[in-house]
Amino acid sequence: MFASSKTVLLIGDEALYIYSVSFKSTQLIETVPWEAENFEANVAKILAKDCGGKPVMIINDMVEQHYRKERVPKVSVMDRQNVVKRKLNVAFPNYPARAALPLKDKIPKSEKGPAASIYIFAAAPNSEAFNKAMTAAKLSYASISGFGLLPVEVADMVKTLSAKLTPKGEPKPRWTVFIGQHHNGALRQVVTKNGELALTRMTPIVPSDDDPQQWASEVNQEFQATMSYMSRFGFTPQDGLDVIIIANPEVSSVVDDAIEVMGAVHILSASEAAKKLGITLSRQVDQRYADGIHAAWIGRKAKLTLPMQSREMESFSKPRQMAGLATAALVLGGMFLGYTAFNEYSALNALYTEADDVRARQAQLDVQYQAEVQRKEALGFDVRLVQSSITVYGLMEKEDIKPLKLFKGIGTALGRDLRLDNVTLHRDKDDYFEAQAAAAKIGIIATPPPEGEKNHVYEALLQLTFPSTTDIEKGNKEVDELKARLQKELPDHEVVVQKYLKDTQYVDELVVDEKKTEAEDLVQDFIVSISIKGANS
Amino acid sequence: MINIIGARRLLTLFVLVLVNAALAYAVYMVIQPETEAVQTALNAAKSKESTTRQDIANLELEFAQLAKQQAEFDTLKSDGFFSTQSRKDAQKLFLDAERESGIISATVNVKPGAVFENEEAKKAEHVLLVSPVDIMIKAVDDTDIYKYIYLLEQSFPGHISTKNLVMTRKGQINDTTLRAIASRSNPPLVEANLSMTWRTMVPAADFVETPELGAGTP
Repeated sequence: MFASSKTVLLIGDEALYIYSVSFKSTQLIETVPWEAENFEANVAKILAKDCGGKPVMIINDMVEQHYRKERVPKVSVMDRQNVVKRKLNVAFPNYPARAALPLKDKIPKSEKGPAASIYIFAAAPNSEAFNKAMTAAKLSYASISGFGLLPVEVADMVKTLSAKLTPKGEPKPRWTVFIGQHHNGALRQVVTKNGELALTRMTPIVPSDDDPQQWASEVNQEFQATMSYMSRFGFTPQDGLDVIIIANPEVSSVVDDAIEVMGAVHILSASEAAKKLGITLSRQVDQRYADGIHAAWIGRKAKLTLPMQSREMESFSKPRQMAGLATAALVLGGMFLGYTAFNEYSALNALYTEADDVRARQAQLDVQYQAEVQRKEALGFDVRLVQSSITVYGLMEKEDIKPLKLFKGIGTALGRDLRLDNVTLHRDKDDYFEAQAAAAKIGIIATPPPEGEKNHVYEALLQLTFPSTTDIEKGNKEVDELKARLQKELPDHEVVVQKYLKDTQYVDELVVDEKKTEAEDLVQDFIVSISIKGANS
Repeated sequence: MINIIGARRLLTLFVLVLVNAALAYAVYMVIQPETEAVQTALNAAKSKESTTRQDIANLELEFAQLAKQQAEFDTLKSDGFFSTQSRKDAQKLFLDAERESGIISATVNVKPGAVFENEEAKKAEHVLLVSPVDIMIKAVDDTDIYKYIYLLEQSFPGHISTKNLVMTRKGQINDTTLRAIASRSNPPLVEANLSMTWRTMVPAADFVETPELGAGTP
């Protein structure tokens, strides 16, 4: 149950009872007789000012309320509402405020008829009191929470109270009778069966309990009349019965003696009953009035059990509900936007602060940068030219094949006994600058070779001549030894013997000269060829 | 409507709508766009700050390196790396090298210089001046040829690098050649054909209009 702050208007036969219900307490604010002058305006003023314009719940507590139990055949969910509405129109054609409440009891399918649900059809007449209450509510500009019938709305209260009063372990009685006198002096009896409204009566009794015997006697008299009705509704003593009577503590023993019934009788003061129900009543001098308990119980409900429909009420309650919802939505929206604005503004402020810090740091850095630039300019030379020329020269050196270093290695490896006849040194491919010039012609930018690249870019071919008298095997061995020495002297090079002594070829021309008197012995030398491949310096 | 919901509630609703509208305007039309603008400006400022820091670090690093680089640069300058490849100076150098190395003769052909752009040189608004050099050398001993190459490498302005070399023994040491050597007639026993590339770095502005230089043989 949702405890909210509301104003409950109890429409009695003689007057309108205005209760203010809040989480803290329930207080009877005013009792306004229907005949009072400027009734509507006064009540509206009370609702707007004394009750703070809280949402109003209008509860009919008049004698003239109409209830009928009706069987509604089981139909599909889609059709149920229309069927119930149609039957309600037929049952109460002349009552503007009416509604139907389904009960737990069902009628199973039998030979006599189809399965059916049981409903309580309720209606209230369009009385002058009702109209006055509506007009007052309308004038107050308070929103309307609902319009209901008191007995229906307190049936669940009776059930709850009965459950609290039944000792643990004992079976709960099926029937409960709640009896309480209202401020108008009438005795309201609410009878529930299995927790649902079965019967209600409102009858006049002696307005005061100054004579406890008489008061108890009249209460008992009305109770006995109710019991006779209950018997007609199927009550048997075996069903179990709880009787709860709200009375002043001083007369409780008298009432207890007066009530004759086969069941449990609980006589409570209004405050005791409220305490059992977990609600708080404001200080109430006379503890026999029960309408305060009813108002407190109903006022705490978020939604009525059986809200009655009334065109007149809806004409202003709906817009007010919408306005209330709009107000709530706007308040929530405002809170969200306020929270968002606060967060966004905080973030923006943080950014401003950070931007200021960055600007301050930038100003310092600019000063530092200018100082560095001036220090560099003070050196008096073109830094770019220095760096660029060193880089270019470095690239040239890197691309240079350093022939003298190569020949020194070759010379050391040859030693004293061997001599070269022919040396050819050539690049296998263009150096970086030549490649760049070639690439530029076709619009490509050549990049410098990566650091540490050691691809072979040049080749040296050495040619040695061995006399024809050389022992081939020994000569080849000597060539291999030369190759080993070359490899040792030129470790980053690839030394390959392309031709050993065993491969002979003619290297000398044959010239026949008539002047020569004797023919020279023609000899055929051995030619050895060695390739040395290397990278740049 | 006023009769149904009341002027007070209507006014409350109106005020609430105004407050919501004002807050929404402030949040979505003022604060958020301003936040985005400030964030963008802040990102730019941070980026600039980072760049400036890097620039300062680079300047400091360069400054530390400049002392060393300055010495290298001075050496390059004194070695004629920025020279315009004067043929007259080259002629003297070739003759000096020929005389000092002890070779019999060197026929030198310096081909016309050509200007080449280079990405690195371009940063300093310079270009490369490249002249191919072909030399035919005759010598008694191959070591004289090596010495000749060494002298060229050491004394030539700018950078000179060997591209191709073909060295051939033309005669054998025998009594005849030994006698010729003794009589200082210096018979050529070794011949070499040497191709070299002479490169210097010159201001681009000076060579834009004259991309090629005239040929010259020292």
